[in-house]
Amino acid sequence: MIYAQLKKTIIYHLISGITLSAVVIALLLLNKYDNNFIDAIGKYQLIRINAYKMKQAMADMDSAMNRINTVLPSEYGSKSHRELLLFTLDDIKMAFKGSEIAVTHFDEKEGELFLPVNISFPFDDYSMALKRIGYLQSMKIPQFKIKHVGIDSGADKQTKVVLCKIDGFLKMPLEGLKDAKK
Amino acid sequence: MRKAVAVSFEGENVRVVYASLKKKDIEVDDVLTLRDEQFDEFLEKEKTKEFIVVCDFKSFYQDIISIPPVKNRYIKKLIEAEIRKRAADFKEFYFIHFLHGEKIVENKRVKEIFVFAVKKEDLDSIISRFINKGKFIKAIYPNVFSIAGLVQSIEEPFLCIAEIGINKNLFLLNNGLMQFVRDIHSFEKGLNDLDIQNINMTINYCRQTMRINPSFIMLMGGICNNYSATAPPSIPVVSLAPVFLQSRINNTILDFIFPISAFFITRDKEINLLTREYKNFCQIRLFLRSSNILFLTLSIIGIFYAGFVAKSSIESRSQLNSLRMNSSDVEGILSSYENKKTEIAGYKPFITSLNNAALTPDIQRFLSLLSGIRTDNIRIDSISITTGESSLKGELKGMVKSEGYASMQMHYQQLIDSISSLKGFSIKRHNIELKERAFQIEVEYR
Repeated sequence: MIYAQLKKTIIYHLISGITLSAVVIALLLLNKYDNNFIDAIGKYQLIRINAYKMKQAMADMDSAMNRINTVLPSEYGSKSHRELLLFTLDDIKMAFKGSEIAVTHFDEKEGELFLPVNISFPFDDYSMALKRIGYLQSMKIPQFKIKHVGIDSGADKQTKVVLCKIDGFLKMPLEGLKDAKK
Repeated sequence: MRKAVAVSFEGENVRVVYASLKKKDIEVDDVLTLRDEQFDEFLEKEKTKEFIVVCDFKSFYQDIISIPPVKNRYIKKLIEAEIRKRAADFKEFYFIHFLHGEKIVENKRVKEIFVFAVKKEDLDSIISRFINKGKFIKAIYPNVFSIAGLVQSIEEPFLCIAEIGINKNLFLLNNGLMQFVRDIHSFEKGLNDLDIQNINMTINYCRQTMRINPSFIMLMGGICNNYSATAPPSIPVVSLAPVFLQSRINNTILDFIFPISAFFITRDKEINLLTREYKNFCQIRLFLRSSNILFLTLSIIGIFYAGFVAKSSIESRSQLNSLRMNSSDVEGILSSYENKKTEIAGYKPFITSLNNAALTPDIQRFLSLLSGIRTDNIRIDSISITTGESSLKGELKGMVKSEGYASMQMHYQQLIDSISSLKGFSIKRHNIELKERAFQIEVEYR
């Protein structure tokens, strides 16, 4: 049987086949090992980027908190929120001399404390009315939210006195900043 | 120029010829004569891998067989069946065949085919000697067919005589076609009277039985140098003078006519007796060896690539270590960030509130812009502003103070155009009553 002569060749074939398989397996494992490193490097780089972003975010947060701290009333922390709203109402009264200011009762809704305020004042100087509205709009904490402004020259057209009515409310968050400030 | 080696098994001797094959010529570089028992040792030492083999088969079957005209693919099967029928001792065999011609027998056309069959065991014994020493056989030719190739261009019938040891091979060629092969035993080398007697009897056989009258006798190979007969042959005798051979071994070249003739056999002559089993064996061995080379080459490439990947992994690892060292502060940043997030959570309602306030358009600016509109002959009695999510809705009421209607319309239109031209203003609806000259304009400010 001449095929018996192939024994040596078949053995070499097996050896070369096993060698190739071993090399292929080793390559696959090495490749996987290398890919894991590359993945890990990518993740570490992402962590570095995220750390940088976190630093920036922290700076933004600090800036936002500082901004809020600057607009907080001086009595903040020592007085209750209701008291603060009433203090602010007193400030408005001081600023709006000769005005009629009507308030109803405190209300709490969606985590905020409200105090509805109706202001009416006569004016003959348009810029004065604008200044008063600007004053109300400039209030940050507590905030004065204007719902409606009505300017009416009324029946007396001779005097040039115009009546301005402002409907709105003073508001501020129910939760205090005391805990956060700690 | 290509190197080739032919081996001729001639009884007790084995003749080996080393030659350089050129386009048309053959240059014999070296010759060797070995005893048969020395041949295995020779093969072991010989560096040449591939050999052409010529063999003097002692046991063969030859005949001219008539077969009906059939498709080519059935011819071999018909011949095989016919040989089995005629030669009972030929169980497994290989054969070569040539078409001799066609004739009409009982009004039917039949093909006459000359066949020459050799037992498989005889071929296997030769092949295994080469395989055992890791050598390849390119072809195995029966010696008479190999040598006949040198003189097949002669058209007239003639009897060829070649010498194997002390025995003689006789074969008749007609029109270049083999007619029969005969082995005659002799008592000494060369041609003596007894051989001439045998030759004359063969010539008579050709004339009487085969109806072929050979024109001459052609002596081929070493026998040309050893003619000692005194009795005349019945037809003229000529010697084959191989002028086409260039040799450095001039004196003995004629003794090597069989292996040399093998170099002249072209592919179109189908006289190769190599077995199908051997051809398959060679294909499998070639496949295995080629795949071995391929596997090893791929393995080497793979090892190099693995080295490259390993180097890359080492670099990646060092890069990762450096990144890991540089990232030691990440934990601190993360905890600070978490703390800061908790801290800012308390500010969130304030931030939301301030952000929402920023979304609402400025009422002061709205009123300020309105103060700049054209109010020729216009009296504005009331302005009403309602704040929406992201816009202000305003309503202006008043009167046009003109006396004429056309003038009224003109001033009213100036007012409308003036409001429309203000930045951020869009008029949603407006109306004027002609009788009262009172107007109402609804605007949106963003």
